[in-house]
Amino acid sequence: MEREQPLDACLDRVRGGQTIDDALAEHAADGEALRPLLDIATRLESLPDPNVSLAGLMNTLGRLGSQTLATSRAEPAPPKVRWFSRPVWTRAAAIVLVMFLIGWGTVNASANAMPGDFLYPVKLFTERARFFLTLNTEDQAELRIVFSSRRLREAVAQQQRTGEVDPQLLKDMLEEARLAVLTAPELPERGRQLLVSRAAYLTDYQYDALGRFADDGGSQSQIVEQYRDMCRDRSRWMRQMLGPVNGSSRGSTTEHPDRHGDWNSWRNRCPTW
Amino acid sequence: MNGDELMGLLERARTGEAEALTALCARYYPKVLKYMRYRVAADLAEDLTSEVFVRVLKNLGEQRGSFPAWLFRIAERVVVDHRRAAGAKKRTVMKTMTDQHEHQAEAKTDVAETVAAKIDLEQAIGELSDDQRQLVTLKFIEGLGNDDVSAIMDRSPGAIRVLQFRALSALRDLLTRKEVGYGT
Repeated sequence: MEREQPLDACLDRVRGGQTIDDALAEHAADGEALRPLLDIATRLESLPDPNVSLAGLMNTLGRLGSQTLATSRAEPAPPKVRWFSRPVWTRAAAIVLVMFLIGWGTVNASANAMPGDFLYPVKLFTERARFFLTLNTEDQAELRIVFSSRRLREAVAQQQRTGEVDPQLLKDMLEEARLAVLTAPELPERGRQLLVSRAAYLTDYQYDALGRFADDGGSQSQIVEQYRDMCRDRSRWMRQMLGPVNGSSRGSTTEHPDRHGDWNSWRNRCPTW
Repeated sequence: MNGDELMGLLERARTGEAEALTALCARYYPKVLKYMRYRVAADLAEDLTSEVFVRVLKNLGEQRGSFPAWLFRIAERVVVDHRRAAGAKKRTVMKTMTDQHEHQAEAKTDVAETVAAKIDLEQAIGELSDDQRQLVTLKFIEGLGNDDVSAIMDRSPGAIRVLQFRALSALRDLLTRKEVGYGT
């Protein structure tokens, strides 16, 4: 009898989480022949990932930028096309190319860029690249917390500069914090407590900052109030899994009955829009 | 990243949105690099991975269906073009990876056995026929499903199952020979 089909069926089962023994249960007659093949398949799937060098990735992004520039030059352009009238991607890609050529100085320079600044897209590129190169869930969550803090700082700077706050920045700020906290159940106990604790304090801080935005009475104050309510709800939700917190302005100071409950069901109760 | 998120990212990337293109590149760069490590000599892997993304950018507007299948088809085309240009029939792979593992094996004797097993496995992959090595890389190292592998290799699902059986059997024989060679 052909063994290709049973092998494929067993591989699917093993990939679905079954042990090799369980997967072979329905193919006992072929078990002896299939077992070493399944064992090799399992070993193949656990081969280590190659080390990805940031320089290699940046080189690729640089080539993409160069390619985009070449394409835009080849297209019939209106007369006297100026740099600032080029598409955002073209400009941003060129920035990445230059960044690669002149080294990491530009990356560092972009670290303090604010929305509307020339280097702001570079900052976002770098953030995304860093995030996708981070394989550890705990480190990814940590990065999201950092990104959330940055979005708040940018929102404050923009509000000071223009008198208005950008709702998209606030939305991104809340989303990064939410995505960070949603990874908590996947972390070891100590790591998850630390993460949720940090996120809860950050959310409280964001709640206060949004209060100041709302007091300034800009045209977006209604949206800011909504986001502020969300901060309050999420802070309470996060503190359900933390111990008593003395002096917290919005968190419960008593141990919540769900404290020792299931982290996964807690995650499913995350307040959403 | 689920299917909907990927679709959204592709939509945005097609419109030329910088962050989406960067995210797409950053997301798939390690996967393509891994594929290249098993398809070409290690010192070429980064350059050819870069070339794959340049071609992705050029052709993203024409992409339809499964993105991973489309991406790895491009990757394979880059491999084939490189071999043609280099006039090489086959490139033996993973020398650098093997050197790296040998170094690790010397440094950490407690894990030497595990590392040696990985070296054997990687060397055995390098001794497979080209189509067997491509299948092993796509199916087991990249973790793609039969449908995607079938689309990338332009073979029927039945042919993929046969090739899969032969590839794993060949690996078993190669590894057995190595064990006999070591006197185990």
